[in-house]
This record gives sequence, structure tokens and C-alpha cells, in this order.
Amino acid sequence: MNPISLPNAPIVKRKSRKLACRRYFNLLYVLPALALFGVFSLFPIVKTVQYSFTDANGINPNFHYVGLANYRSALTDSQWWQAVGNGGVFALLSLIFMNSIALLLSVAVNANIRGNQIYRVVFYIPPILSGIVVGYVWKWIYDPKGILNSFLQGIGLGGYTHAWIGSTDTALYAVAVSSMWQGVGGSFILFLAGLQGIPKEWYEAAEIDGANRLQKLRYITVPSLRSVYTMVNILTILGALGIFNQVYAMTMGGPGYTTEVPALRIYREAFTNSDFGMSSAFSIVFGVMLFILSLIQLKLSRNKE
Amino acid sequence: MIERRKPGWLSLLVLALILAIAAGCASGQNESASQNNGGSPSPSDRTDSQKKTGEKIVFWHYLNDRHDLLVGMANDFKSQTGIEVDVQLFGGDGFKQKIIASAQTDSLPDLMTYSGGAGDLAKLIETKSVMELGGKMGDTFKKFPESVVKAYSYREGNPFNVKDYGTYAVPMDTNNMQFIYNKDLFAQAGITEPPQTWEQLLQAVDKLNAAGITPFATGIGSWVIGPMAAPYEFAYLGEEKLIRVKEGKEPLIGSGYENVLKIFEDLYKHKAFAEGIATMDLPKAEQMFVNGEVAMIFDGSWAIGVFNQMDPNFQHYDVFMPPKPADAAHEVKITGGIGVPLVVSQKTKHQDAVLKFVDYLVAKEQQQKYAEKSFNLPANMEAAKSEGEMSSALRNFSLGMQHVYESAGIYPSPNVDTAMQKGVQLIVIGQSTPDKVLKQMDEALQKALKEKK
Repeated sequence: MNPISLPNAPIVKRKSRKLACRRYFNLLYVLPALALFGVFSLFPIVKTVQYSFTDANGINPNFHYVGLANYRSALTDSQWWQAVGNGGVFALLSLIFMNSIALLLSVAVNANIRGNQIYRVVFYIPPILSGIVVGYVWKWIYDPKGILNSFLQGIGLGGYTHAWIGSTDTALYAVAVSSMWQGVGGSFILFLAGLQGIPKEWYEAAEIDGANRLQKLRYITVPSLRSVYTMVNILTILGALGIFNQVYAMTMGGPGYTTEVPALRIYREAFTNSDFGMSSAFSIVFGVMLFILSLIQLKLSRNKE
Repeated sequence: MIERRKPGWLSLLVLALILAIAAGCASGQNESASQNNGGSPSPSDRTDSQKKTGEKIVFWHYLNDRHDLLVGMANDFKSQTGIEVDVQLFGGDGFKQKIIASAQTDSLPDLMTYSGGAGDLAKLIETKSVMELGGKMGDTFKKFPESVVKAYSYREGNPFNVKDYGTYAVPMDTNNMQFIYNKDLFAQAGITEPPQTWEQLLQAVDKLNAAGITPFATGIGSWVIGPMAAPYEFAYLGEEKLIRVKEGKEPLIGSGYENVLKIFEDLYKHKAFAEGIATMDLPKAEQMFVNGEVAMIFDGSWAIGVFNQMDPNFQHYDVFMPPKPADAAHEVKITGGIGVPLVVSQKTKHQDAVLKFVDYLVAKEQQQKYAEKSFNLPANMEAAKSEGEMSSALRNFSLGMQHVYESAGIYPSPNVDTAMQKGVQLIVIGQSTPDKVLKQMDEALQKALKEKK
């Protein structure tokens, strides 16, 4: 058939109907994914919202609606806000220290230093470890008779030995260090991917113009990574505020409420106090907070762009 | 042509996979059928015991140190009855959560050890997830001390509002919590006898410190604070007042409860605690005790088995009751009762087999074997009495059963207990005071009472 000749009307109709049928038929391929999303993502969210207005205990399918009582209780709970504050400290420390270290490491590895392939693997090992395992390893390191104190004693700094996670002045920071140690690899990989996307010609041109390393970092690398920063920062904030494993393994929120974090409180309400209603209310409050934080971060980065 | 061959191979591969799965299923059916037939000539010729061949019950437990022992007992039981018991270990702190999740999804095993208090079990009774056993195993329950059976019995007016009255757990062993001390370290510090009063305990702490020995460790970072405070709750408030205070019928502040918190402050002031105590868990404290790094630990009777696992040569220790303070008006009572409660699923399809296995586990012979191998106190009174080779520590734990309280009352919300636990964690490192903690507990109690109304 001549490609430019027009087919007659019935054939066109039949063809378009066939195409439409095919399109609808193709939608069937998406159904399994949609079903999985509905069952494992959407349904739990809907149930969590429902439970947050009830006195459900997690076992009995019969429960009573209590209106906004759980939310009132959650929002006026001083320990909850202390836990949120502790999560905020984790997030702040991670944003400042963890991401700075991750950026420096990625710049170093991207500069084709010797053994950079090995470093890529080594830096990404901590994120693939179980958080609970990492928590127990660091608990062992921080033990009063553990590696850290033994090392300090060994180098003549015995006066600085400490019960790192058993003391209110260091417990939060000790847990934060373990969390950052595990998280730095994740940020590193994202920064590295961002760095590899920057055209090399820009650096060559800058070199011709006489730019030094610092100027290249300031005027090319940092501005080019803006969108990566946004993503890394959002992921860091969400990850740090949602910290659970390390705290559970190392301190259980103690001493007192020193290392209490939102996820641990939600867990305790659900599984220790058997108050799924309250636990769900805390989850919703926390989820909304994280959502708003992410939106603010996105908005700010768009404004900058 | 080449493009067409690819889907052809793919189809063949898929077909082969389907056939393989179908064949696998078919052979599985044949195998199980042959097992059920048991080689007997015709189904009508089968005897009762032969019918049970192939019957399989599932038993979940969290007893890391007793898994092999339970598997051995299950094998013996199978050789006697033909009933197979699939013993599954789920160690760690998450066992209670696993049971809750399984109850929610109607997937509880036929039999399980229960990890939780009477209040926790009440929630499973409310949903009709677990079976009432008092009516079905009346004779079995006669083997145990009455106080132990009562731990999971619910009668009219029970504080957990259980309406289906009855007994819902069979005790596999009993336990209680007391102080354990290292005899060698005590001797090294010049202490000849275990403390009888709180004041003597503080003197012993001073002597141990003077000898350069760390006096005390326990799981302050986990759940041990409650059981350690309980003897002093009874000593200072007495049972009736304690229950009324916890129910909110009498004010907490001014009740004398601050004296209970002061025992932790006393220990802090006398420098009794090992470094890192505020977040220390019980296994860490147990390891320190076995290593000879601390002279005393507050622990349960199961610790004897734990110590034996950590170091079989470590034997030079004994047990003493929580010593009573001179200014306390009432008797000291200790936490204890059923160590391992056995609970049966309401929806088991093998009720007779499960009850038969439970009966087997708590029979005198098995209980003796259990006590001998696991160093736990047997629940069966006959087995407990017949133990000739009991160590001094095990005997003292056994004697402690006479001082176990039946009920220490419950707060309207677990948040009051949490406030106490968190507060004590700060008292033991000098970051809070009994008055402050009491105030925090009272705030949590008042909030709970208000919400209850």
C-alpha cells in the first residue's frame, strides 16, 4: 500500500477501535502493580487513619470510635514533642555532618583517586547492613569496657572515657554518630551520581580560565548539585526523623527520655501498651509533619532555582 | 525467523515450569497419602493410634536455651503416641508481638508458650483466640501450687474485665526474682553473710566498694525496674493500699511511694551501680556477673540456666530475698509465678493431641528432666519435691515461691509504669530525684484517670 494514500472510513474505524481495545487491554498489565499498591500501601494508610479515631487494642476486631481524643492526647503529650525534638537533633546533625562528609567523599572518589572503585564499595557497605546489627555493634563499641574507651586509655586519654550511651550528656550524640555512620554511604552514592552527571568540559573550560580547585568546587560542582542536594536533604531528614533500629538496639530511648524518638514511641504505644488507636494517631501526626517538611524543602529548592 | 523462535522457547520454558510445579504438587499429595495410610492394608483396619500417625501439631516458643530439650521431648512424645510436634523457636523480644500479629490474622499455632502478663492474655481471651483449659484439664491443674494456677485464672470481678471466666494457661515452670550474689567477691570484701535488711545491703555495698569491687548491676535499661521495685511497693504500702493507689482510689503522692523510689537513690548514693547502668539490659548484667565484674545482680530463677550456659564452671553464687528496710511496715513480697505459661489456640484442629502433649510436658518425669537440664523450677509439685540434688541457689529460689505476690494491682495506663521506669533510669545516674519522678508518675496517672472517665 502507498504510504500516503488514505484508507477508507470503515477500515479506519475498525483500526481505531482495535487500538482502543489494545490500550485498555494493556492496562491489565498494570493491574498486578495496582493491586499490590492498593493492598500493601493504600489499605494500611486507610486503616491507620481509621484506627487513629478508635480505642483499638490491636487484637480485638471490635473497637469504639473515640473522636479526636487520641489526637488531643498526642498533641498535648510533652514526651512526644521531646521525641520529635530528639529526631530534629538527629536530622540537624545528619544534614550538617553526614552530608558534608558524604559530599567530600564523593568529590574525592570522583576525582579518580587510586582505588576509587574499592572506596565506592566500602562506603556503601554500612547502608546495606541491618540497622539492628549496626546498633548492637555500636553498643559494643560504646560499652564502658568497649573498644572506644580502651582506645582512649591506650593513647593516654583515659580521663575522657565515658559511659557513652548510659549518660544523659552523650547518649543522643552517641546514637546519632552510629546512625550517621550507617547513613553516610547512601548520601555518598547520590552525590557521586550527581557529580558524574556534570559535563567534564565545564571543568576544562574553567581550568583554561585559570580557576583553582576551590573555585571549581564553588562555582561548578556545588551549583550543579542543587537538585541532588534537595533530594539528599529530604531523604536525610525523613531518615533521621524516622530513626528506630539503632535507638531500639542501643538505648530503648533511655536514659529516661534522652534518646526517645517518634518511631520508638509509636512502637511502644502499639506493642507494649497495646493502644493501636493512640499509636495510629501518633503515626498520622508524624506522617503529616514529615509531609509538610518535604513540601517546604521542595518549595525552597524550587524558589532557589 | 529468529525473532519468532524466542517466544517459542519462552513458551516451552513456561510450560515446563508449570508441568514441574504440577508434578511437584502431585507427588506431594501422593507422599502425604502414603504417610497417612501408614502401610496398613485398608482404612477400616486402622487402630486409633494408627489413625493418629501423621497428626501434626505446631508448637511455638521463645526459649532459646531449652529448644533442644523441647525438641527431644517432642520426639519422645512422637515415639509414644505417633503424634508429631513441630517445635518452632522464635527467640528474642519480639515473641509477644508475633503472637499479637498472629492472633490478628487468625494464624496462631496449636500450642504456644505465652510471653506477657495476665492483662495481655486477657486481650486474647476477649477475641476468643485461646482455649479455656480449667474445664478440660482439671486433673492436670491439681499438680501445681494453687497460687501458680491463679496467675492466669480469671474470676468474677477480675481487673481485666474478662467475662469468659476460667483458667487459660498451664504452667511449664515457675520462677521468681531475687538478688543473686557472688560468694567469692563477698568473701573478698569481708562480707560473711548475705544482707538481711536494706541497711545491711547498703553496708555490703560500701564494703565492696572499699575492696575495689563493683557492687551491683541489673537490667535497668529494660524491664527489670518494675520487678525490682515491687518488693518495696509491698513493704512500704502493703498490698491493699498498693492496689488502691494504682487504681487511683487513693492519691499516689503522700502514699509512701517515694520511699520505693528512694531505694534506687540509696543505691546511687552508695555508688552501688556498674558503669552504664541506665541503659544496661539484663543479658549484659548477667555476663558481667558471670565474669566476676559485679558482686550482685537482681535477676530471676532462670538466670541459673543462663549462668550455666555462659560458663558451666561458674557455680559459686547464692540467692537472697530483697532485704526489708527498717522503716517499712509490711512484709516484702516478690515478683514471680508461672515462668513459662502454655497456651492453646481456640482454633486448633487437634485439640486432643495438643492437650495430650501439654499433659505430657507437665508430667512428673518430664518436669524432673526439664528442671535438671534447664535449671528452672518445675511447676509440678511432685517433681519439685523429689529434687535431691538441688543447688543452694535453686533451693533458695524454690523457697522464694512462698513470698510471691498474687497481684500488685495495675495502673489504668501503662504510661505510669513507663514514667516510673524512665524516672528510675535517671535516679540511678543522679539526674533525677524520687520526688520529681513521683510527680511525673502522678501526672501520667491523673491523665490516665481523666481519659478513663
